[in-house]
Amino acid sequence: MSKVTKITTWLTVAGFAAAAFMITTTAQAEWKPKGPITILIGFSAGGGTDTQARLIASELQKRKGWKIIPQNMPGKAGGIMARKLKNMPADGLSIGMAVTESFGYAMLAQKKAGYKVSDFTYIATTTSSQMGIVAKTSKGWKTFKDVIAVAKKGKVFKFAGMSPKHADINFLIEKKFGVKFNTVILRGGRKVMNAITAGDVDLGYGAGIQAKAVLAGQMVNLASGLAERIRISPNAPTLMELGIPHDIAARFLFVGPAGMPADARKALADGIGSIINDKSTKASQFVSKRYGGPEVITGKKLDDMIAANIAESKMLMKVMN
Amino acid sequence: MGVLDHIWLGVVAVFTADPIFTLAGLPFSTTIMMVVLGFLGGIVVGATPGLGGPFAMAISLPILISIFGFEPDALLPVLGFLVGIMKGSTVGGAVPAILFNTPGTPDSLMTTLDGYPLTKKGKPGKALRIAHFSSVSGDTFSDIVLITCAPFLAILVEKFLDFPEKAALIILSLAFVSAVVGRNVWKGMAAALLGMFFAYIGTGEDGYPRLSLGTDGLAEGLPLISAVLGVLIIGEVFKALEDMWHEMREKSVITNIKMKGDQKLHFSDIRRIFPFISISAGIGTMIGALPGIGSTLAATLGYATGRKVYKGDTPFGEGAPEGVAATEAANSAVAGANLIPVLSLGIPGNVSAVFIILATESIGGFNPGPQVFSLVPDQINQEMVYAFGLFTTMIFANGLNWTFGGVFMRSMGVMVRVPKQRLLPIVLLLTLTAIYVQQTSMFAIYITLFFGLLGYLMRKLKISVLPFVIAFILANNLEEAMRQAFAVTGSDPWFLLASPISVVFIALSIVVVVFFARNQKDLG
Amino acid sequence: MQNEKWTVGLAVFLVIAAAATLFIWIPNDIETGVVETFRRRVTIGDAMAPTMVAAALLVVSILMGVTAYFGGRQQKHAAKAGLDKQSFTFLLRLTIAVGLGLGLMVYTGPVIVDIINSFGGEIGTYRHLKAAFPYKYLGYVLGGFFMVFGLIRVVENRFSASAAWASIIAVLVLTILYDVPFENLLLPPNGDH
Repeated sequence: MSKVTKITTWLTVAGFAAAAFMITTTAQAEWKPKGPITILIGFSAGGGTDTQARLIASELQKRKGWKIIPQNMPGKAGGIMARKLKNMPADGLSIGMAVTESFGYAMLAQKKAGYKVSDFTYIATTTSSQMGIVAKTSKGWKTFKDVIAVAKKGKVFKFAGMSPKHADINFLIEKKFGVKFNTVILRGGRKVMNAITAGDVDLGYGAGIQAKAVLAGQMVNLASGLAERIRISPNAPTLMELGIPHDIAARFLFVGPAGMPADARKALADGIGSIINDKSTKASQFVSKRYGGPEVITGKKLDDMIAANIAESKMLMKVMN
Repeated sequence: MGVLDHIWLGVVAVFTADPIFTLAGLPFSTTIMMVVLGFLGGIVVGATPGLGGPFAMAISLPILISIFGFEPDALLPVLGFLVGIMKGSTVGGAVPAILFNTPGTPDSLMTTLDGYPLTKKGKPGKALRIAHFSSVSGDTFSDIVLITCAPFLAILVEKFLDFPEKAALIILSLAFVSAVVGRNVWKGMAAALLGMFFAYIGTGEDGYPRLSLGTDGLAEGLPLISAVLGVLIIGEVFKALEDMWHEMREKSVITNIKMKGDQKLHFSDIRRIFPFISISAGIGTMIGALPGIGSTLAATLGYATGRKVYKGDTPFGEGAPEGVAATEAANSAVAGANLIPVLSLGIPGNVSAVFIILATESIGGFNPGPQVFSLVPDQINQEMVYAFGLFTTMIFANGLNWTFGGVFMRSMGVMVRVPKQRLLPIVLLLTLTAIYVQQTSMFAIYITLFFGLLGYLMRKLKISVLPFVIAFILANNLEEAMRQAFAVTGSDPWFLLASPISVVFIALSIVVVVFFARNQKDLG
Repeated sequence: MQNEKWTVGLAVFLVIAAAATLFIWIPNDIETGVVETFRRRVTIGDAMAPTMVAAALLVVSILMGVTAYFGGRQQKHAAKAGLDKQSFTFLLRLTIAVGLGLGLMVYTGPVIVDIINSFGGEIGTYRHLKAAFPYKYLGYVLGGFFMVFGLIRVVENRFSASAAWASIIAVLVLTILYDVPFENLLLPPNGDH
C-alpha cells in the first residue's frame, strides 16, 4: 500500500468516525418516525409470533403515538419476510418480527436462503420458547429416558418436529443411543399437537403451545430443549443432561434492515422492551403464560447472541455432515 | 368433558359471548347480530340478478376480518355472517326467477320453469311462499343430517386414517371433483392439475421458493385469496361484462304483475308439496355431502325426480307448485350437507365451503378436519366448541328463515332493477380492494387479475372452475400429507399402497375417472 | 366443429406447456430433486409434487386432445367452446379500462408528492405520507374512478353522466368503507411504500 492510499484510507475512516460521532451526539433527542411504521410478521395470523407482534404494536401505538401497521408475511420460517425486509429502507419505518432460527439454523439449512445475518439490524428479543419433547400422558412415559429404554428394544417411534433442526437433533439422539425414529416435519406447533393427540405420531417437539395440555395432565414434557429444565416440568432432563450438547430454544425477536440509525434502533428497542417488561400489558401476560416470560435482549448483547447462535448452528450442521 | 358439554359451550358462545346490547333482559351477542345481518344481506344479494352468495362472501370476508381481527374470538361472528349469507342467498335466489323469469344463479334456473308460469297466472305470492317453505324445509333437513353425521364421520376418519390414508383420501376427492363436474372429464382433470400446479409455485420445503423464476413476487407463493377470488369472482365478472357488451339490447320492460285471488299457503298446499320436498331434500343432501357436485345438479335431479313422481293436473313446466317445491328443496338442501366433508375431512366440496375454509385459514384457532371432533378427557377441545357454535348459528339462521325470511324475501322484487352493467364494475373494484387490504401488495392485485383472465378463458373454453379452485386449496395439504406419510413410514416409496384403506381409496379414484370418462357423452 | 377445434387447440397448448414445464422449467427452477437425501434423511423433495402434476397434465391433455379429435362429432349438442373475434375486441377494451385505472392508482400519489416537493413543498416522501390525508386517497380514488367508469363505458358503449356519478359514489363509498373504520388498513397502493 502506498503512503497516499494509506492516508486517504485513514482520512476516510476518521471522517466516518467523526460523522458517526456527530450523529450519535446530535441524536440525543428521542427518535421519532417520519411516517407510519410497518411491522412485517414472519408467521401467519393467529400464531404465537403474530399475537405478540400485534399486542406490542397496539400498545406501542398507544404509548408513543406512533402509527403502526402490522402485516403478515408468512413462509419459510420467517425467510420470506426476511427477504422482503432486507430490501426496505433502513429508516425505522419497516421492521419485522421472527425467531432467532430465522437468522440461524433455518437460514443456513437452505441452499439459497436469499439473505444473510449481516442484512439486518437486530432490535430486541421478547421471550424464548419453552421447547420440549412432548408425548401423551397415556403412553405412560415419565421422562425421555423411558422412551429410549423402549426404543432400544427395537421399537421405531413416529416423531414430529417443526424444523429440520429437530430432525438433526433426532439423528444425534439415534446415533448416541443406537435407536431409530421415523421423523416427520410438520408446519407449526398446532399441527404437531394435533398429530400427537390423534395418535398419528408418538412424540413431538413443542415450543410452548403444549403448556396448557401439560398443566392439565393430558400431555407430558419428556425432555427440555433449553439450557435449563422447563419451569412447569422440572423432572424432564435437558438435552444436554442426556448428552446431546445443544440448546435448541428459539427466541422471538424484532429486526430491521441493515444500517438502521442507532437512535431509531434504540428508540424501537426501548419501546418494545418497556412494554414486554411491564407486567400489566397484554403482551407481557401472553409471553408469561405461553413462553418463558419476558426476556428482552438488545444492542450489543443481542448482536453477540445472534453470532453465537450462528456458530452453534454451524457446529450442529458440521456434526451432521 | 363429554360431547354434551361441548355442545352447551358452543351454544353459550354463540348467544352470550360479547353482547352488544340487551333486549328485554336477554343479551344480544355479536355473533347473533352477524347472523341476522348476513341473512338479510344474503337475501338481498340472492335477489339481485347476477350476484349470488359467493360474491357476497368474497366481498365481506376481508371486511369481516378487518373488523374482528385474527384472534379466535373472531371465528363465530365471521362464520355466523357467512352462514347467514349462505342461507339468505339461497332463498333470495328464487325471487327474480319466479317474478321476472331471470335466474340470478344457475341454481334457480329450474325454479323459473314453474315459478314464472305461476306468476303469469297471477299467483306470484303463492309461488314465492311455496319456494320459501320448500327451501327452508330442505335446508333444515340438510342441517340436521350435517349435525348428526359430521362428528361421527370425523371420529371414524380420525380413528382409521393415518397420514398415508389421508393423502389417498385427498387424491380420491380431487379425482371425484374433477371427474364429476362439467361435461368433459379430461377438462375437469386438467383444471384440477393446473390449480395444483399454481399452488406449488413459490412454496415447498427448501429455502429457494420453487418455480419462482428468481423473482421476489412469486417467492411468497400465489396468495390463496387471489387465486380463489380471481378465478371465481373476477373471471365471472369479465364473462358477464362481455355477455352484456355483446347483447347491449335494452332491458326488457318489467311487466307489472297483478295478483289474482288467493296467494296464501294453506295446509292443503303443504300436504300436496310435502312428498316432493322430502324426496328433493334427500337428493340435495346426498349430493351436497359429495365433494364437487353443486346445487345446480341437485336442483336438476330434484326437478326431474319430482316430474317422474308427479301425477297432478297442471303439468310440470306450466306452473305446477310441486315443480317449484322440488327444485327449491333440492338446491337448498345442498348447503348444510356441503359442510360434512369440510368439517369431517377438511376437504371443501363447493364454493360456499371454500369460503368457510378461507375464513378459518385467515383466522386462527379452528382448522376444519377430523381432529375437530376428537374428545380429550378432562379437557375442552376448543375446536369442537367452535364446530358446535357453527352448528348453532346454522340452526339460528334457520329459525330466522322460518320466521322472518318469507316476508323479507317477498319484498325483494325491486332488486331486479339494479343495472348489472354498473354493478359488476363496482364489484370488480371492491374485490380488488378487499384483496389489497389483506395482502397489501399491488402484486397480489396483478395476480388476481391474471387469475381473473384465467377464469374468463376457462369459462369461454367450457372448463369448470370448481376443480381448479378446490385443487388449489388442497394441493399443499396433499403434498404435506405425502411428505409426512413418506417420513412416518420410514421412507417407504409405496406408502400410498401400504394399507388396505388407502389401496381402496386409490382404486376408487381410478374407477371414478374411468367410469366418467367412458360415460361422459351421457352427462350434461 | 368450433367446439372440437378449440378443445384440440387447448389440448395441444397444454401438452406443450406441460412438457416445457417438465423438461425445462422444473429442472432449472427447483433446488431439490424428486427425492432428497439431505443430511442422511431421505425425504420427498420440492420437485416431486410439481413433477407428478406436470406429468399427469401431459397425459390428461393428450387424452383430452385425442378424445376431442376422434369423438368430437358425437357431441353435437354441446355448447360452443372458444373465443371469437368479438371476444378479443372486448378483452382489448377491458385491458385498457383496467390498465388505465391501475396505472393511475399506482402513480398518482407519488407523482403529486414529487411535484409538490419540486416546487419547494418539503412535505417528505410518499413513504412518509402513505397514511396521511389527503395523499393516501389520491391514487385510489382517481384510479378506482377510472376503472369503474371505464368498464361501464365499455359495456354501455357511451359516456353518460349518470355512469360517472355512479362511479364517483361507488369509489367514495368504498374508500369510506375500508379506510375510515379501520386504522390499520391501507388502500392501494399505500402498502407498497
